[in-house]
Amino acid sequence: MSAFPQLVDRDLDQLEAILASLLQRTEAKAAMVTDIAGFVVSSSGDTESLDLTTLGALAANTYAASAAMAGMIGEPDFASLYQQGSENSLLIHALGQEALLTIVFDKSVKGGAVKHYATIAVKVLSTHLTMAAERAHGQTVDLATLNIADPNEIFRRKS
Amino acid sequence: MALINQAKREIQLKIVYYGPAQGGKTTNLERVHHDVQIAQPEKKSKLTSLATSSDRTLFFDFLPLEAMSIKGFSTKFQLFTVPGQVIYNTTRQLVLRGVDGIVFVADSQFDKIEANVESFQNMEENLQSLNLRLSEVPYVIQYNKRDLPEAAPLDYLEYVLNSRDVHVPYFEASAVHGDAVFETLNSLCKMLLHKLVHPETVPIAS
Repeated sequence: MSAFPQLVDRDLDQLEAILASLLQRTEAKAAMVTDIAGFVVSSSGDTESLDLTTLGALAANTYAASAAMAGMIGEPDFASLYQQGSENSLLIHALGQEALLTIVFDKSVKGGAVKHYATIAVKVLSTHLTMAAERAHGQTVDLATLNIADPNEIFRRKS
Repeated sequence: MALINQAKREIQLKIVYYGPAQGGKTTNLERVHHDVQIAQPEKKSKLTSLATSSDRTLFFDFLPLEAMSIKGFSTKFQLFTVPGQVIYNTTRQLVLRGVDGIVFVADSQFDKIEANVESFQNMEENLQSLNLRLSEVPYVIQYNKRDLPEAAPLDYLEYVLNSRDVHVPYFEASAVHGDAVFETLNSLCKMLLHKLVHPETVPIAS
């Protein structure tokens, strides 16, 4: 399994700019990039009222389950998942093998428009992540400042 | 696989609680969620359970936690459980994707020994399906339900489940009472961080 590419500040700025542009064009509520396990990498929009951490984990697993079902019925080409609601909807789109784009939008926004602009954003985001992966090939991360000298109580019980 | 974000100085790690049905995986997460000390209580994370009406895990339970005591990086852990029932094997494979470390929650009761062994073998097979070997994935074993009178002797459980080349840390627990729940979690977190900082070393043995 290949890893999600190592990103630098400039990458994150660009991912956020792409997501912000997507929201501006679609008037969706929020958008985020997660890795394939659901870890949030970048987000834009209504990041306060939405629990993006949980949403990312649920989106990743839902996408994985749908992709598995697609495989079972002989459909190898599975790239996106659209959950349409009466008030709010979700679009989850693969970004290559290692990442997902998730967009949340309400009923005032047309799903077709979101899908259209999401397709454009997916191309730009995927290109950017590919470039980051190629640039960071073999690069290691300096974790020297990670202090694990006394990690016996990483999580503590309330007293 | 751990997500290390150098730009944000953030590390995210995925832990999966694995084990036989009704062994106490969800109870572990509930106890952690209920008892964990956090810096800003108003920002307490939510435990999400995708369960059936009879509280059996259908897909997974999910609890995000941020560690307070690690300096240098913002360190976030995502805790998942898998459904224990045999029929949900595809679901277990999905939840294992991207796993960094595993807590194997064994049911200590005598009549659950076979279920423990089957679940452990199933875990190894599912890791293999993801091109992972058990020897490469940090894991600990929690012998749960030690408070029950039907609990098998520890030596016996150790012989059955923990007699591989690398003897992994194990814990005698009663998750429903909160006993050894945090010790189990902290031990695995320590192994994961050790592996991150020293990826070339072998897994920590007890």
